[in-house]
Amino acid sequence: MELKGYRRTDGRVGIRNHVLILPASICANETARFTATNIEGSLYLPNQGGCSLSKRDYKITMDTLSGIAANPNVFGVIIIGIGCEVIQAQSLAKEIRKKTNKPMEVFIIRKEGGMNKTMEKAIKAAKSMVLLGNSMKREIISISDIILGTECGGSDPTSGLVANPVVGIVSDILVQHGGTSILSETPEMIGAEHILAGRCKSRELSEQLLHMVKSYENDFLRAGENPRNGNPTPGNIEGGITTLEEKSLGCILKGGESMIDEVLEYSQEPRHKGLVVMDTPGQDVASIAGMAAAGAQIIIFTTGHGTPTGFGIVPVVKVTANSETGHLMKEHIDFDCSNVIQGSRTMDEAANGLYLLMVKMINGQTSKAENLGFNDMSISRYCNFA
Amino acid sequence: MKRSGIKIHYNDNVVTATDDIYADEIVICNDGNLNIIAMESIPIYHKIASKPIKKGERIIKYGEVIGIALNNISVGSWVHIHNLRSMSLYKEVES
Repeated sequence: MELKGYRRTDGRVGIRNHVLILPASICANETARFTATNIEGSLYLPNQGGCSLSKRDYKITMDTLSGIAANPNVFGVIIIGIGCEVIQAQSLAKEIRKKTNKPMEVFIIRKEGGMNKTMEKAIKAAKSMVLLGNSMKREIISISDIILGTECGGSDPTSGLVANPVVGIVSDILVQHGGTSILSETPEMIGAEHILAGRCKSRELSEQLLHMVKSYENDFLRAGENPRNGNPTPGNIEGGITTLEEKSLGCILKGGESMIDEVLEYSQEPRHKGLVVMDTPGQDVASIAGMAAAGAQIIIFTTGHGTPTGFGIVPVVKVTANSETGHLMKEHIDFDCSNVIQGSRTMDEAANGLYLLMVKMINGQTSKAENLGFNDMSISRYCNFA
Repeated sequence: MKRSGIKIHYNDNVVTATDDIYADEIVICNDGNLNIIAMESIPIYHKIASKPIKKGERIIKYGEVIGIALNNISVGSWVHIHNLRSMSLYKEVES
Protein backbone atom coordinates (compact mmCIF):
# COMPACT_ATOMS: atom_id res chain seq x y z
CA MET A 1 0.00 0.00 0.00
CA GLU A 2 1.18 3.51 -0.84
CA LEU A 3 2.31 5.57 2.14
CA LYS A 4 1.68 9.30 2.40
CA GLY A 5 3.03 11.77 4.89
CA TYR A 6 4.25 15.31 5.38
CA ARG A 7 7.76 16.11 4.22
CA ARG A 8 9.40 18.60 6.59
CA THR A 9 12.01 21.17 5.63
CA ASP A 10 14.47 19.46 8.01
CA GLY A 11 14.25 16.28 5.92
CA ARG A 12 12.09 14.30 8.29
CA VAL A 13 8.68 12.84 7.51
CA GLY A 14 5.58 13.31 9.65
CA ILE A 15 2.29 11.40 9.62
CA ARG A 16 0.33 14.08 11.50
CA ASN A 17 0.45 17.85 11.14
CA HIS A 18 0.05 19.38 14.60
CA VAL A 19 0.69 22.91 15.78
CA LEU A 20 2.06 22.40 19.28
CA ILE A 21 1.58 24.82 22.17
CA LEU A 22 4.49 23.93 24.41
CA PRO A 23 4.82 25.28 27.97
CA ALA A 24 8.48 25.50 29.06
CA SER A 25 7.46 24.71 32.62
CA ILE A 26 4.54 23.93 34.90
CA CYS A 27 4.00 27.66 35.49
CA ALA A 28 3.14 28.17 31.82
CA ASN A 29 0.80 25.19 31.59
CA GLU A 30 -2.52 26.93 32.05
CA THR A 31 -1.73 29.79 29.69
CA ALA A 32 -0.64 27.25 27.08
CA ARG A 33 -3.76 25.15 27.67
CA PHE A 34 -6.13 28.12 27.32
CA THR A 35 -4.27 29.26 24.21
CA ALA A 36 -4.73 25.84 22.60
CA THR A 37 -8.45 25.65 23.44
CA ASN A 38 -8.89 28.89 21.48
CA ILE A 39 -7.38 27.52 18.26
CA GLU A 40 -8.75 24.57 16.40
CA GLY A 41 -5.96 22.46 14.98
CA SER A 42 -3.54 23.19 17.78
CA LEU A 43 -2.48 20.91 20.57
CA TYR A 44 -1.27 21.67 24.07
CA LEU A 45 1.45 19.56 25.64
CA PRO A 46 1.04 19.31 29.44
CA ASN A 47 4.37 19.84 31.19
CA GLN A 48 4.57 18.84 34.81
CA GLY A 49 8.23 19.79 35.12
CA GLY A 50 10.55 22.39 33.66
CA CYS A 51 11.66 23.77 37.03
CA SER A 52 13.39 22.73 40.27
CA LEU A 53 15.54 20.28 38.34
CA SER A 54 18.84 18.57 39.09
CA LYS A 55 21.47 18.86 36.34
CA ARG A 56 20.69 15.40 35.07
CA ASP A 57 16.95 16.05 35.11
CA TYR A 58 17.53 19.36 33.30
CA LYS A 59 19.17 17.46 30.45
CA ILE A 60 16.47 14.77 30.40
CA THR A 61 13.72 17.42 30.33
CA MET A 62 15.46 19.58 27.71
CA ASP A 63 16.14 16.59 25.43
CA THR A 64 12.55 15.43 25.77
CA LEU A 65 10.76 18.75 25.27
CA SER A 66 13.00 19.78 22.35
CA GLY A 67 12.71 16.30 20.82
CA ILE A 68 8.92 16.33 21.02
CA ALA A 69 8.84 19.79 19.41
CA ALA A 70 11.18 18.51 16.68
CA ASN A 71 9.08 15.36 16.11
CA PRO A 72 8.02 15.44 12.44
CA ASN A 73 4.34 14.97 13.39
CA VAL A 74 4.59 18.59 14.61
CA PHE A 75 4.33 21.25 11.91
CA GLY A 76 5.19 24.18 14.10
CA VAL A 77 5.59 25.06 17.76
CA ILE A 78 4.62 27.94 20.03
CA ILE A 79 6.69 27.96 23.23
CA ILE A 80 5.25 29.69 26.26
CA GLY A 81 7.39 30.35 29.34
CA ILE A 82 6.78 32.18 32.60
CA GLY A 83 10.23 33.78 32.58
CA CYS A 84 11.99 32.50 35.71
CA GLU A 85 11.91 28.73 35.17
CA VAL A 86 14.98 26.51 34.98
CA ILE A 87 14.08 25.44 31.45
CA GLN A 88 14.19 28.92 29.92
CA ALA A 89 11.87 29.26 26.92
CA GLN A 90 14.69 30.81 24.87
CA SER A 91 17.11 28.01 25.76
CA LEU A 92 14.46 25.49 24.81
CA ALA A 93 13.97 27.30 21.50
CA LYS A 94 17.73 27.16 20.88
CA GLU A 95 17.76 23.44 21.58
CA ILE A 96 14.85 22.91 19.17
CA ARG A 97 16.68 24.96 16.52
CA LYS A 98 19.63 22.56 16.74
CA LYS A 99 17.27 19.78 15.68
CA THR A 100 14.91 21.44 13.20
CA ASN A 101 14.14 24.61 11.26
CA LYS A 102 10.34 24.27 11.53
CA PRO A 103 8.13 27.31 12.32
CA MET A 104 8.56 28.43 15.94
CA GLU A 105 7.53 31.38 18.15
CA VAL A 106 8.34 32.14 21.79
CA PHE A 107 6.24 34.12 24.32
CA ILE A 108 7.14 34.92 27.93
CA ILE A 109 4.15 35.50 30.23
CA ARG A 110 5.98 37.83 32.66
CA LYS A 111 7.31 39.93 29.78
CA GLU A 112 3.92 40.20 28.05
CA GLY A 113 2.16 41.13 31.30
CA GLY A 114 0.12 38.07 32.28
CA MET A 115 -1.96 35.34 30.76
CA ASN A 116 -4.42 37.39 28.71
CA LYS A 117 -1.83 39.52 26.96
CA THR A 118 0.31 36.46 26.27
CA MET A 119 -2.68 34.57 24.93
CA GLU A 120 -3.62 37.42 22.63
CA LYS A 121 -0.24 37.21 20.91
CA ALA A 122 0.12 33.44 21.10
CA ILE A 123 -3.34 32.88 19.60
CA LYS A 124 -2.54 35.21 16.72
CA ALA A 125 0.76 33.43 16.05
CA ALA A 126 -0.77 29.98 16.40
CA LYS A 127 -3.64 30.86 14.06
CA SER A 128 -1.31 31.84 11.25
CA MET A 129 0.79 28.74 11.94
CA VAL A 130 -2.30 26.53 11.65
CA LEU A 131 -3.20 28.23 8.35
CA LEU A 132 0.31 27.61 7.05
CA GLY A 133 0.18 24.03 8.29
CA ASN A 134 -3.14 23.43 6.54
CA SER A 135 -1.48 24.27 3.22
CA MET A 136 0.80 21.22 3.63
CA LYS A 137 -0.20 18.24 1.48
CA ARG A 138 0.58 14.60 2.10
CA GLU A 139 3.20 13.27 -0.31
CA ILE A 140 4.43 9.78 -1.06
CA ILE A 141 6.84 8.59 1.58
CA SER A 142 8.72 5.36 2.20
CA ILE A 143 8.25 2.86 5.02
CA SER A 144 11.95 3.41 5.73
CA ASP A 145 10.98 6.94 6.91
CA ILE A 146 8.96 5.43 9.74
CA ILE A 147 10.13 5.14 13.32
CA LEU A 148 7.82 2.91 15.35
CA GLY A 149 7.87 2.91 19.14
CA THR A 150 6.67 -0.23 20.92
CA GLU A 151 5.27 -0.21 24.42
CA CYS A 152 3.33 -2.49 26.77
CA GLY A 153 1.25 -1.60 29.80
CA GLY A 154 -1.41 -3.07 32.06
CA SER A 155 0.00 -6.44 31.04
CA ASP A 156 -1.68 -9.77 31.78
CA PRO A 157 -0.84 -13.33 30.67
CA THR A 158 -2.22 -12.65 27.18
CA SER A 159 0.32 -9.84 26.65
CA GLY A 160 3.43 -12.04 26.70
CA LEU A 161 1.62 -14.97 25.12
CA VAL A 162 0.16 -13.31 22.03
CA ALA A 163 0.01 -9.49 21.91
CA ASN A 164 3.77 -8.88 22.34
CA PRO A 165 4.87 -11.67 19.97
CA VAL A 166 2.43 -10.28 17.35
CA VAL A 167 3.96 -6.79 17.76
CA GLY A 168 7.40 -8.43 17.49
CA ILE A 169 6.48 -9.83 14.08
CA VAL A 170 5.24 -6.36 12.99
CA SER A 171 8.54 -4.88 14.22
CA ASP A 172 10.52 -7.49 12.26
CA ILE A 173 8.53 -6.77 9.07
CA LEU A 174 9.13 -3.03 9.48
CA VAL A 175 12.87 -3.56 10.04
CA GLN A 176 13.09 -5.88 7.01
CA HIS A 177 11.50 -3.11 4.93
CA GLY A 178 14.13 -0.61 6.06
CA GLY A 179 12.19 1.10 8.83
CA THR A 180 13.11 1.66 12.47
CA SER A 181 11.56 0.09 15.54
CA ILE A 182 12.31 1.17 19.11
CA LEU A 183 12.22 -1.35 21.94
CA SER A 184 11.86 0.47 25.27
CA GLU A 185 11.41 -0.02 29.04
CA THR A 186 14.78 -0.87 30.62
CA PRO A 187 13.39 -2.32 33.91
CA GLU A 188 11.50 -4.92 31.86
CA MET A 189 14.81 -6.09 30.38
CA ILE A 190 16.26 -7.05 33.76
CA GLY A 191 16.66 -10.83 33.71
CA ALA A 192 16.68 -11.09 29.92
CA GLU A 193 19.45 -8.59 29.21
CA HIS A 194 21.87 -11.39 28.25
CA ILE A 195 19.46 -12.42 25.49
CA LEU A 196 19.25 -8.85 24.15
CA ALA A 197 23.02 -8.47 24.45
CA GLY A 198 23.36 -11.59 22.30
CA ARG A 199 21.29 -9.91 19.62
CA CYS A 200 23.44 -6.78 19.38
CA LYS A 201 25.31 -6.25 16.12
CA SER A 202 28.64 -5.57 17.81
CA ARG A 203 30.38 -6.39 21.05
CA GLU A 204 30.59 -2.72 21.91
CA LEU A 205 26.82 -2.42 21.54
CA SER A 206 26.28 -5.49 23.76
CA GLU A 207 28.39 -3.90 26.46
CA GLN A 208 26.48 -0.63 26.10
CA LEU A 209 23.19 -2.48 26.52
CA LEU A 210 24.36 -4.45 29.57
CA HIS A 211 25.67 -1.23 31.10
CA MET A 212 22.34 0.49 30.47
CA VAL A 213 20.41 -2.26 32.29
CA LYS A 214 22.97 -2.41 35.11
CA SER A 215 22.79 1.36 35.68
CA TYR A 216 19.03 1.18 35.88
CA GLU A 217 19.27 -1.66 38.35
CA ASN A 218 21.84 0.27 40.43
CA ASP A 219 19.48 3.27 40.61
CA PHE A 220 16.87 0.93 42.10
CA LEU A 221 19.38 -0.56 44.54
CA ARG A 222 20.34 2.94 45.71
CA ALA A 223 16.68 3.54 46.49
CA GLY A 224 16.66 0.35 48.56
CA GLU A 225 14.83 -1.78 46.00
CA ASN A 226 16.08 -4.93 44.35
CA PRO A 227 14.15 -5.49 41.14
CA ARG A 228 15.36 -9.10 41.01
CA ASN A 229 13.69 -9.87 44.33
CA GLY A 230 9.95 -10.17 44.23
CA ASN A 231 9.97 -10.66 40.48
CA PRO A 232 8.07 -12.41 39.05
CA THR A 233 5.42 -11.12 41.46
CA PRO A 234 3.00 -13.50 43.23
CA GLY A 235 0.39 -12.34 40.71
CA ASN A 236 2.71 -13.20 37.81
CA ILE A 237 3.34 -16.66 39.32
CA GLU A 238 -0.36 -17.27 39.76
CA GLY A 239 -0.79 -16.26 36.13
CA GLY A 240 1.71 -18.88 34.98
CA ILE A 241 5.01 -16.96 34.85
CA THR A 242 7.73 -18.97 36.64
CA THR A 243 11.03 -17.12 36.22
CA LEU A 244 12.31 -13.56 35.81
CA GLU A 245 13.76 -14.34 32.38
CA GLU A 246 10.36 -15.65 31.29
CA LYS A 247 8.65 -12.46 32.47
CA SER A 248 11.20 -10.18 30.82
CA LEU A 249 11.18 -12.20 27.60
CA GLY A 250 7.43 -11.67 27.40
CA CYS A 251 8.13 -7.94 27.23
CA ILE A 252 11.20 -7.79 24.99
CA LEU A 253 9.43 -9.92 22.38
CA LYS A 254 7.96 -6.65 21.09
CA GLY A 255 11.32 -6.17 19.39
CA GLY A 256 10.90 -9.42 17.46
CA GLU A 257 13.96 -11.38 16.46
CA SER A 258 15.88 -8.69 14.57
CA MET A 259 19.46 -7.83 15.46
CA ILE A 260 19.93 -4.66 17.50
CA ASP A 261 21.48 -1.77 15.55
CA GLU A 262 21.81 0.86 18.25
CA VAL A 263 21.35 1.53 21.98
CA LEU A 264 19.91 4.96 22.73
CA GLU A 265 19.71 7.20 25.73
CA TYR A 266 16.26 8.41 26.76
CA SER A 267 14.88 10.83 24.11
CA GLN A 268 17.94 10.41 21.87
CA GLU A 269 17.29 10.38 18.13
CA PRO A 270 18.43 7.16 16.40
CA ARG A 271 21.27 7.51 13.89
CA HIS A 272 20.72 4.04 12.52
CA LYS A 273 17.69 2.38 11.02
CA GLY A 274 16.60 -1.07 12.13
CA LEU A 275 15.87 -2.30 15.63
CA VAL A 276 17.07 0.10 18.32
CA VAL A 277 16.81 -0.15 22.10
CA MET A 278 16.05 2.94 24.19
CA ASP A 279 16.72 3.41 27.90
CA THR A 280 13.25 4.34 29.15
CA PRO A 281 11.43 3.84 32.46
CA GLY A 282 8.65 1.32 32.93
CA GLN A 283 6.08 4.09 33.26
CA ASP A 284 4.26 3.88 29.94
CA VAL A 285 3.68 7.55 29.23
CA ALA A 286 7.24 8.59 30.11
CA SER A 287 8.52 5.79 27.92
CA ILE A 288 6.33 6.95 25.01
CA ALA A 289 7.50 10.56 25.55
CA GLY A 290 11.13 9.41 25.19
CA MET A 291 10.37 7.62 21.94
CA ALA A 292 8.28 10.53 20.59
CA ALA A 293 11.20 12.84 21.43
CA ALA A 294 13.47 10.51 19.45
CA GLY A 295 11.22 11.09 16.42
CA ALA A 296 8.86 8.08 16.55
CA GLN A 297 5.81 9.00 14.48
CA ILE A 298 3.66 6.11 15.73
CA ILE A 299 3.44 3.90 18.82
CA ILE A 300 2.06 0.38 19.08
CA PHE A 301 0.97 -0.32 22.64
CA THR A 302 -0.08 -3.75 23.91
CA THR A 303 -2.30 -4.06 26.95
CA GLY A 304 -3.97 -6.87 28.85
CA HIS A 305 -6.19 -4.78 31.07
CA GLY A 306 -6.95 -1.98 28.59
CA THR A 307 -4.61 0.93 29.42
CA PRO A 308 -6.23 3.97 27.76
CA THR A 309 -3.01 5.99 27.17
CA GLY A 310 -2.86 8.46 24.31
CA PHE A 311 -0.05 10.83 23.39
CA GLY A 312 -1.16 14.01 21.65
CA ILE A 313 1.28 14.34 18.77
CA VAL A 314 1.76 10.63 18.10
CA PRO A 315 -0.97 8.08 17.35
CA VAL A 316 -0.91 5.28 19.92
CA VAL A 317 -2.30 2.05 18.47
CA LYS A 318 -3.76 -0.04 21.27
CA VAL A 319 -3.53 -3.83 20.93
CA THR A 320 -4.98 -6.51 23.20
CA ALA A 321 -5.14 -10.30 23.12
CA ASN A 322 -7.57 -10.42 26.04
CA SER A 323 -11.05 -10.94 24.56
CA GLU A 324 -12.78 -9.53 27.64
CA THR A 325 -10.67 -6.37 27.45
CA GLY A 326 -11.29 -6.14 23.72
CA HIS A 327 -15.00 -6.16 24.47
CA LEU A 328 -15.17 -4.09 27.68
CA MET A 329 -12.60 -1.51 26.54
CA LYS A 330 -13.69 -1.36 22.90
CA GLU A 331 -13.71 2.43 23.14
CA HIS A 332 -9.92 2.33 23.67
CA ILE A 333 -8.72 -0.75 21.79
CA ASP A 334 -7.70 -0.45 18.13
CA PHE A 335 -6.75 -4.06 17.48
CA ASP A 336 -8.05 -7.19 19.19
CA CYS A 337 -6.01 -10.32 18.48
CA SER A 338 -7.65 -12.53 21.11
CA ASN A 339 -8.74 -14.85 18.30
CA VAL A 340 -5.12 -16.11 18.21
CA ILE A 341 -5.69 -17.45 21.72
CA GLN A 342 -9.03 -18.93 20.68
CA GLY A 343 -7.20 -20.62 17.80
CA SER A 344 -9.10 -19.11 14.87
CA ARG A 345 -6.18 -16.97 13.66
CA THR A 346 -2.41 -17.52 13.60
CA MET A 347 0.13 -15.08 15.04
CA ASP A 348 1.35 -14.29 11.52
CA GLU A 349 -2.16 -13.53 10.31
CA ALA A 350 -2.73 -11.26 13.29
CA ALA A 351 0.63 -9.54 12.69
CA ASN A 352 -0.24 -8.92 9.03
CA GLY A 353 -3.54 -7.41 10.13
CA LEU A 354 -1.79 -5.16 12.65
CA TYR A 355 0.82 -4.11 10.10
CA LEU A 356 -1.95 -3.12 7.69
CA LEU A 357 -3.67 -1.12 10.44
CA MET A 358 -0.36 0.63 11.18
CA VAL A 359 -0.04 1.55 7.50
CA LYS A 360 -3.60 2.94 7.48
CA MET A 361 -2.80 5.01 10.57
CA ILE A 362 0.40 6.28 8.98
CA ASN A 363 -1.80 7.42 6.10
CA GLY A 364 -4.08 9.38 8.41
CA GLN A 365 -6.64 7.01 9.93
CA THR A 366 -6.98 8.12 13.54
CA SER A 367 -6.46 5.89 16.58
CA LYS A 368 -9.06 5.47 19.32
CA ALA A 369 -6.93 7.58 21.69
CA GLU A 370 -6.73 10.36 19.07
CA ASN A 371 -10.49 10.25 18.57
CA LEU A 372 -10.99 10.61 22.30
CA GLY A 373 -8.49 13.47 22.42
CA PHE A 374 -6.24 11.69 24.92
CA ASN A 375 -3.15 13.77 25.56
CA ASP A 376 -1.06 12.15 28.29
CA MET A 377 2.40 13.47 29.10
CA SER A 378 5.14 12.44 31.48
CA ILE A 379 8.92 12.87 31.46
CA SER A 380 11.36 10.43 32.99
CA ARG A 381 13.09 11.63 36.17
CA TYR A 382 16.30 10.82 37.93
CA CYS A 383 16.15 12.83 41.15
CA ASN A 384 13.35 14.37 43.20
CA PHE A 385 12.46 18.03 42.59
CA ALA A 386 15.09 20.42 43.91
CA MET B 1 -12.33 -33.34 26.38
CA LYS B 2 -10.09 -31.47 24.00
CA ARG B 3 -8.35 -28.32 25.18
CA SER B 4 -5.95 -25.97 23.50
CA GLY B 5 -2.44 -24.64 23.98
CA ILE B 6 -0.07 -22.29 22.21
CA LYS B 7 3.45 -23.15 21.21
CA ILE B 8 5.10 -19.76 20.70
CA HIS B 9 8.39 -20.75 19.03
CA TYR B 10 9.24 -23.90 17.08
CA ASN B 11 12.19 -24.61 19.41
CA ASP B 12 10.08 -24.50 22.58
CA ASN B 13 9.78 -27.59 24.78
CA VAL B 14 6.76 -26.18 26.61
CA VAL B 15 3.39 -24.94 25.38
CA THR B 16 1.08 -22.51 27.17
CA ALA B 17 -2.42 -23.65 28.10
CA THR B 18 -5.16 -21.38 26.80
CA ASP B 19 -7.85 -23.21 28.79
CA ASP B 20 -7.94 -24.75 32.25
CA ILE B 21 -6.83 -28.32 31.55
CA TYR B 22 -7.53 -31.49 33.54
CA ALA B 23 -5.64 -34.80 33.62
CA ASP B 24 -6.10 -37.04 30.56
CA GLU B 25 -7.48 -34.25 28.41
CA ILE B 26 -5.98 -33.82 24.97
CA VAL B 27 -4.26 -30.48 24.41
CA ILE B 28 -4.35 -29.38 20.77
CA CYS B 29 -1.66 -26.86 19.86
CA ASN B 30 -1.70 -24.00 17.45
CA ASP B 31 0.77 -25.54 15.00
CA GLY B 32 -1.75 -28.28 14.21
CA ASN B 33 0.54 -31.30 14.46
CA LEU B 34 1.16 -31.28 18.17
CA ASN B 35 -1.31 -33.03 20.48
CA ILE B 36 -0.40 -33.64 24.10
CA ILE B 37 -2.22 -35.71 26.71
CA ALA B 38 -2.27 -33.81 30.00
CA MET B 39 -0.76 -35.80 32.90
CA GLU B 40 -2.30 -33.53 35.53
CA SER B 41 -4.38 -30.38 35.97
CA ILE B 42 -2.84 -27.31 34.38
CA PRO B 43 -4.31 -23.84 34.99
CA ILE B 44 -4.96 -21.49 32.08
CA TYR B 45 -1.79 -19.64 30.83
CA HIS B 46 0.48 -22.11 32.65
CA LYS B 47 3.05 -24.28 30.87
CA ILE B 48 2.87 -27.92 29.80
CA ALA B 49 5.93 -29.93 28.72
CA SER B 50 5.65 -30.76 25.03
CA LYS B 51 8.89 -32.79 24.96
CA PRO B 52 10.49 -35.02 27.62
CA ILE B 53 12.87 -32.80 29.66
CA LYS B 54 15.65 -34.27 31.82
CA LYS B 55 16.77 -32.87 35.16
CA GLY B 56 19.29 -30.06 34.54
CA GLU B 57 18.10 -29.45 30.97
CA ARG B 58 17.07 -26.09 29.67
CA ILE B 59 13.44 -25.18 29.40
CA ILE B 60 12.71 -23.20 26.26
CA LYS B 61 9.83 -20.77 25.74
CA TYR B 62 9.77 -17.95 23.16
CA GLY B 63 12.71 -19.81 21.58
CA GLU B 64 14.88 -18.77 24.56
CA VAL B 65 15.98 -20.38 27.82
CA ILE B 66 13.61 -19.46 30.66
CA GLY B 67 15.34 -21.71 33.22
CA ILE B 68 16.50 -25.19 34.16
CA ALA B 69 14.49 -28.31 34.98
CA LEU B 70 14.82 -29.33 38.65
CA ASN B 71 13.78 -32.93 37.88
CA ASN B 72 12.80 -35.13 34.99
CA ILE B 73 9.64 -33.81 33.38
CA SER B 74 7.51 -36.00 31.14
CA VAL B 75 5.37 -34.80 28.23
CA GLY B 76 2.03 -33.48 29.42
CA SER B 77 3.30 -32.43 32.86
CA TRP B 78 2.74 -29.04 34.42
CA VAL B 79 5.92 -26.91 34.35
CA HIS B 80 6.08 -24.26 37.05
CA ILE B 81 7.91 -23.23 40.25
CA HIS B 82 8.04 -26.84 41.55
CA ASN B 83 10.19 -28.09 38.65
CA LEU B 84 11.64 -25.01 36.91
CA ARG B 85 14.25 -22.61 38.29
CA SER B 86 15.64 -19.36 36.88
CA MET B 87 19.11 -19.78 35.33
CA SER B 88 20.76 -17.38 37.77
CA LEU B 89 19.14 -18.98 40.83
CA TYR B 90 19.97 -22.48 39.54
CA LYS B 91 23.63 -21.45 39.18
CA GLU B 92 23.62 -20.27 42.80
CA VAL B 93 22.23 -23.63 43.94
CA GLU B 94 24.81 -25.53 41.88
CA SER B 95 27.78 -23.51 43.15
